[in-house]
Amino acid sequence: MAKNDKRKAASSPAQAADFPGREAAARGNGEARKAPAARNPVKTGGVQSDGRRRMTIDDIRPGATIAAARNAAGNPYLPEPATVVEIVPETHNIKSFRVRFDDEAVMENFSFAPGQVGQLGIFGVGESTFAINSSPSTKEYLQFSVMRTGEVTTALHNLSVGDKVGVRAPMGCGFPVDEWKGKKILYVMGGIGSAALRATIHYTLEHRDDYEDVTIIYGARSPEDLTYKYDIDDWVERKDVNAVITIDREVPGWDKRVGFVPAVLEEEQPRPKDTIAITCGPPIMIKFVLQSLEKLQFTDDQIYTTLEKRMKCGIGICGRCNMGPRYVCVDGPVFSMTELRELPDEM
Amino acid sequence: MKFLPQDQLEAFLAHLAESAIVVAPQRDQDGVLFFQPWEAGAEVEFEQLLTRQSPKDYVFRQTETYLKFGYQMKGKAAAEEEEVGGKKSKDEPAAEEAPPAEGEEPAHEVLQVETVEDAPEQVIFGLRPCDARGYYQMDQVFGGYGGFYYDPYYMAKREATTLVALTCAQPWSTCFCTAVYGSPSGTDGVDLLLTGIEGGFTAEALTERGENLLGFGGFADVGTGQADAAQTVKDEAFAAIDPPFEIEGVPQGLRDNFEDPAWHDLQMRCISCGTCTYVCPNCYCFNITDEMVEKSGERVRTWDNCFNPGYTLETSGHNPREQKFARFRNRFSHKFWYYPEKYDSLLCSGCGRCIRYCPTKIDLREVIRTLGRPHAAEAAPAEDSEAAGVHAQTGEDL
Amino acid sequence: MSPANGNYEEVEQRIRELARTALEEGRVDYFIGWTAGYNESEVIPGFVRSADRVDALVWNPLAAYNLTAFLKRKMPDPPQAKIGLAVKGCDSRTLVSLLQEELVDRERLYVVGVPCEGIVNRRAVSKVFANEVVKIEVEDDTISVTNQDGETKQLAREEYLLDHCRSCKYPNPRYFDDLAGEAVTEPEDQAPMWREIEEFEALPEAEKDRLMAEAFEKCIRCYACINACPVCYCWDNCVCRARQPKLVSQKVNAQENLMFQMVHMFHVAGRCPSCGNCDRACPVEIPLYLLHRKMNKELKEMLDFEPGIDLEQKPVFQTFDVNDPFGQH
Repeated sequence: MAKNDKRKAASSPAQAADFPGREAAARGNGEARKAPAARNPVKTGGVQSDGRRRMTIDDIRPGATIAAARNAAGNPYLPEPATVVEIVPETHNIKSFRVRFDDEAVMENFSFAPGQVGQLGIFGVGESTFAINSSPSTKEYLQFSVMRTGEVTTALHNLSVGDKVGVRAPMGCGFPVDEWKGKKILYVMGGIGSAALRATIHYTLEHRDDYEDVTIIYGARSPEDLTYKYDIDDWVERKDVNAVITIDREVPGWDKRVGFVPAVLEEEQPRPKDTIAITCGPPIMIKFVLQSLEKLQFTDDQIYTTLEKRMKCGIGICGRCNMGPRYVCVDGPVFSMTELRELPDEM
Repeated sequence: MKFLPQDQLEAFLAHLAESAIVVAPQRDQDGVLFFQPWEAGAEVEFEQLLTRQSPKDYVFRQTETYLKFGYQMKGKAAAEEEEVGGKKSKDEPAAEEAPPAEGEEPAHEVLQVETVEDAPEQVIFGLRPCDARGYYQMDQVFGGYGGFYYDPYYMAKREATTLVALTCAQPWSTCFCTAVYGSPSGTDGVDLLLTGIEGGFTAEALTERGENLLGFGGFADVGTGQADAAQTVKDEAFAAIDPPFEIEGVPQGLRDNFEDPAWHDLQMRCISCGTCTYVCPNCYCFNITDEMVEKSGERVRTWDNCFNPGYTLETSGHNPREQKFARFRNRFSHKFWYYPEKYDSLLCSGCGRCIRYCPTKIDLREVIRTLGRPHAAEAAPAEDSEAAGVHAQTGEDL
Repeated sequence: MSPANGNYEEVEQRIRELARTALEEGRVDYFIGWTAGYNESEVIPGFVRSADRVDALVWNPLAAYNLTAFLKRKMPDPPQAKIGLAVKGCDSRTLVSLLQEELVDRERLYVVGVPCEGIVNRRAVSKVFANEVVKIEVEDDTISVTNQDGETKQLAREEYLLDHCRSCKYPNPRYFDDLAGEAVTEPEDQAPMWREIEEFEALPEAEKDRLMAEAFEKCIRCYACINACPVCYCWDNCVCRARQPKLVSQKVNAQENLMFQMVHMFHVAGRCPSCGNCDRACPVEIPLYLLHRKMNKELKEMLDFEPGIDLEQKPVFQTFDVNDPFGQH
């Protein structure tokens, strides 16, 4: 009878090839219950079925991450109490918040990889995800830059120095800065996109000898919309950095470039050989920057970006930040173009 | 294997209730069957196959309080403020009028945060193997399978939960567990499996927890033929389900068909509510919000679903899944493609509730039949003409 | 409600013909009617895009779904589609409400009116067996229910119609382009019946509170009710899910759930003729239509208003009349 045949088919291991390692357990019927995975099961990056390595929290060296420590302790949702120590106004709607963990030991042991993010929250309002944009070598504070748009960001903008916040960090995967050693680095960023790359820029500049030429192309609508003016002065001054600062439209007194970021990028004509391009900015800018990079003959594996999605848990459980089977919070936010091309287009 | 005579059932429930909360299917005021905490004398209903919702709420609570917190004024001026009862505005500079006297603490706001733990011992009694398998599949997610995080709220409850499942004797027309590697007598996640036979239930312990339950004095040794009778019930139930689709290749099929226009046709009658996900034993997506009243509040986790507009809405106003069909597509893709890729299993145990309780009866089986076939399989000579026929029929919305 | 005339097949044929013609002539991109569900006890919304598929459309007393809910924002696919649909009497009233407030574009609509003699309360009928009901048939004044074992029970049609069908004043569509079949006789007694509401109103306050808490305790906040509601149109911007302003907490408990349902009730007041689509969509069977019936009773008594009766009628909350009986209360 056909039904019996189907039953037989279901128990053939070859039929279950889509679900490796689970076919026996998944069928049930007399199989012993597999105990739930043990506590703190974080393991070093597994290899995906397609041969690519999945980065996990353990890949972030040195491994002293709060999230991982919390994980071992049992509650990845519990924020670390912290205090706002300084607020730097960046533009009319962007402020940078410098926060210190209240627990000195935590502050001392904190480290993160450039490109990693954190959940910054106010008890009673909620949490949001922001890039940690202070330099990884800064031990005094963590810096997050916040544009005032929604519920949490508005509440953050109303904070004063001394107010309490909660921080869950670091999260996600950073940029593979070690793999880039010996290469030329090209940053292409626009507007608030600079926040996601600032830590990485600081890292490469602090390890300047590890890299060849460093170019920073940064654009904003107007001079007032440029973030981190204190950094820009430094980049422009440095002889070992090619900093190209541009604004969309000419204004009196502006002595740097004028033009949209993708156009300026094409004018600069960076050579793709041995170069890594890292881009972040508004979605429309990224779209055109990618086209320009393609025109300049950059290949997908030379291009990296960091993505924004609505996030809640930040630890790969709650489900919303997926692009196909990848979660931006744990598999990202950093992706190479090669990785992105494999994912369904749900940007 | 043991035997529980029918007349010992209530005594067994009472025995379990001595040391744990017992949750069992009971009818509510409108005659709808739900898992509810059982009290002596309450009528338990095993005749109806499925409860309206799976019992997942008892481990993965619809509203779970993560943290409680409060802001309190301490030091000078705190007392005065209490008196006026006025809410101090954040913008106001903290009581600067007079410098605090010697030894007196200046006024400041103190934040107190505490975590909430609530995981009583519980026995979920009379759930079906598909419901138990729902837990088993969520365990992968919340237990950190594959190098992800461990969720203490879910896992604390899960570890305090014993599952006593009941073999389905008579599957419904919407049941399809056998198509997704399940069975009406499946044991994934099950501690003790009861199978209804004449005069009572056979009882098989699958775990140590289950073994311990057999210590109850009302159990008898299985009599002659009882084990065979149970096996017959299981076999007949298994045979009663005609698998509506072949699961092999479905993840690849969904990948291949991601841009297929059939997604638009199939979602036409979807109203984008969350019913399918909230009756589902597997769906586990959630939201986290802070709920504040005056100066104290809670951070709570509540169920969420991919049909909710706020699920993916970014603060900029951009929504990566703006259109209804994209939300619809995500649910099936998550169950049969994304989850398998991350957890090497399936996020569907084939209970069919999503079909039955959907306001417009969207049929998961039809969606998978239509969009779960890899392109390679279609290009190859049709080795399964029956399935190909089904595909051709359901390519349209009707 | 008058006894069934049993001309369902004729009307069904007529719906198919009208749908076929509209599709063939390109007047609509798709036609929405009712079609068979996963077994013979279910009739579900059916979308037909080509004329050769109209035979899948059915008409019988299980065709409960109010199809005007598919005209809401974000429902049409493609968004600018020209849509044909079938409406019963109560469905047409929600359509009229939408048209009055210009919430749907009349130019892109083709409406087939279906005179209705009452819809079976499938929920009540399916409870006559503990196991699965696989078939529901209606013949004359009898409903035959068959379960998966092949057992059949006969029920009196009158007792197993939806509550609001039993007190229905408007079985014939109030708005349509073509009518599928003869109009049915409208009931003689034109006074609306509020029996179930009056019963509730007569209860002691404590008992009302208890019943309300019991009913809303089990709400799972799936939002099927508001998404199935034809006249609830905020879609992605519902205040019950918004964080700014934060009116309703995300916590799921009797109090918050009731708050959410109250927001729905008040927001659709004046548009909602209590068609019951929310009630039937509810997966946990909260008798939601009673809320909306109550609002309809108040509208009738205070403002002498019945929603969706005709196109020329002014939406009640967009008019002001010093002589409103409201002022006399």
